[in-house]
Amino acid sequence: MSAAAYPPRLPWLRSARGLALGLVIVALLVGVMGLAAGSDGWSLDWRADGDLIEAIRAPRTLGAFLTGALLGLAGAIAQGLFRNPLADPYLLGSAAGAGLGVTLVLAAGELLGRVIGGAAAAWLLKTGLVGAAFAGALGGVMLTLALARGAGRPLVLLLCGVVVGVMAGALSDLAAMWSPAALRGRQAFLLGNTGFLGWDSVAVLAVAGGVALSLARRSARALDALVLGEATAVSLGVNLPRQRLLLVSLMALATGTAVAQAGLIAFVGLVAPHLVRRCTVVTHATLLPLAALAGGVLLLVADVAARSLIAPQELPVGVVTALSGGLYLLVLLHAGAGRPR
Amino acid sequence: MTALLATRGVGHRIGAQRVVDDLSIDVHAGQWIALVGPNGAGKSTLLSLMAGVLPASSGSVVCGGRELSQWAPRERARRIAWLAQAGDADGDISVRDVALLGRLPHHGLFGSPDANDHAIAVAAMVDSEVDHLGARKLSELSGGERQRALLARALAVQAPILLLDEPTAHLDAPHQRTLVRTLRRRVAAGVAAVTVLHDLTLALQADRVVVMVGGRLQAQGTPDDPALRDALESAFDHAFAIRALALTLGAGSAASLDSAHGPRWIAVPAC
Repeated sequence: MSAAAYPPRLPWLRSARGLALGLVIVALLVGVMGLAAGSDGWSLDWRADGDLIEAIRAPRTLGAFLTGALLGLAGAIAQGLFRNPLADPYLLGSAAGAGLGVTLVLAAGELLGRVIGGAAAAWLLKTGLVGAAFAGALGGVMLTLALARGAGRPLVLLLCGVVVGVMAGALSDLAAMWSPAALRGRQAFLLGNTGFLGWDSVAVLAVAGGVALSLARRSARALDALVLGEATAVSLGVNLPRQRLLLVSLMALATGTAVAQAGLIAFVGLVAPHLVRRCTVVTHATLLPLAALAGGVLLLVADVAARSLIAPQELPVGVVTALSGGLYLLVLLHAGAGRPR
Repeated sequence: MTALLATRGVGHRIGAQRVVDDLSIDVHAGQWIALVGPNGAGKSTLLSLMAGVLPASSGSVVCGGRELSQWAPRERARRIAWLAQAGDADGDISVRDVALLGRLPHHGLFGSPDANDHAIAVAAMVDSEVDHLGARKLSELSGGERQRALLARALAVQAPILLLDEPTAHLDAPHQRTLVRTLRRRVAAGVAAVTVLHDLTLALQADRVVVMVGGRLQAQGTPDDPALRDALESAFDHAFAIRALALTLGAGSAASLDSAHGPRWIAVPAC
């Protein structure tokens, strides 16, 4: 059955420029909403709330966008690299590694609190958590790579990612058993949270995003060639081992940075590239930035929804993305099932 | 005449099994070789070895006087275009971009296709009769359309050596005929082509037929060589017989068939 039999409802979304423009407009609109969303309702009064907006809402809104963008980019890389539209950026042990890092620091913080006092331990904890999540995410990926003896065999790599995920999860459970505080903190991390994103986080996310996107775009044609199969990519002169290592490293950088700043945000990395591919037909040189843009918009929307749906209380943003992402995949599944090939 | 591509006692093992064993063939410019044999004979493995996408366990593949493994990947890719067996490619990439990927060995990962690359890709799409499908996704195409799109990618490389693994898979009769004509045109222009084929009537239109059985070279020769035809029948346990097409259609039609490079021999199932 041809695609022509299913005319798109919004033809302008079929072009990459139209889609990018649409996403930018949504990002700006929702971004403004993000600046206005407070615990007492919507307010964008710069005279009254200027400090609040500048110190808290603006970095949080921008940080949520950048975190989503990193996850969208990592998802697009993962799906291209593993030639699987359901590949997730957390596949290679980064999520479980970050979880373990956070749990260990939390447990150590509780122990330290008893020795050096609560305030000092809390300060150490705050600075240590981001570093621990990042180190854990990178450590998880490095361990996966080491166990798989490189990135040369994608299936072995994925299986080793599963093994590292299960083992790091078990170790996290063990550490959390000894420390109730670690259990609570770990839970908050696992649910994902954009509430702690400050300007320092925005700077880190922006630098990591810029580096990852520019380097990944240099490998865009290798990802295009991989669509036709690994052997065909090799026959086209692609140095596959080198490209795999580079792309896995970029995936780890993007995921590790995002996880370190905002915890585990489910489904954004999986859904963002999907949405782009569903709207338009592009090569990876365009897909990578568009997936990043879509990921940013998705998390921005989820964050504003998480802050405003049950205001003055907040929902964990990871819960919003998991619920909406799960629903999206279900709709996709049933739409796909009823659509003959 | 120096071979453009040659295998020298090349072999490939999977575990203890020798999939290709001590096989030597020469591929010359302006020649179309059909690689035939029963399932599991090692034809696709041999083609992968010749393309440099599979390392040889023993022996070597020589291209332009140098071992294939010594060529830089892009250099090798500019000399040898390889079409994989159908079924591996299925993605959200347009047919136009698939054809343009054939130019990747020329402009490299960090370059961009220029106007000349676009023109060559379009010409390859026309040759494969997929120019009207340019904006369509590969994943939305039928098996035959997808095969033609992938063929366009291989043709767009404009390599002097063209290795095609079952290029007629999923193709209907008119498109098979177009493929043979395209292949003939390229070969007449000096390209060396090796095709794995299951349609023996089609294979017998090639300049040379190489018969493989159990990973080894069983026979090679021109279709007009009676020994080659006997070996071919034997390789398939005489499940078919090769007949001269002129006899089948009557003597009057032989001349026109010859002049058009059409089939001279036909494989008919043995009763």
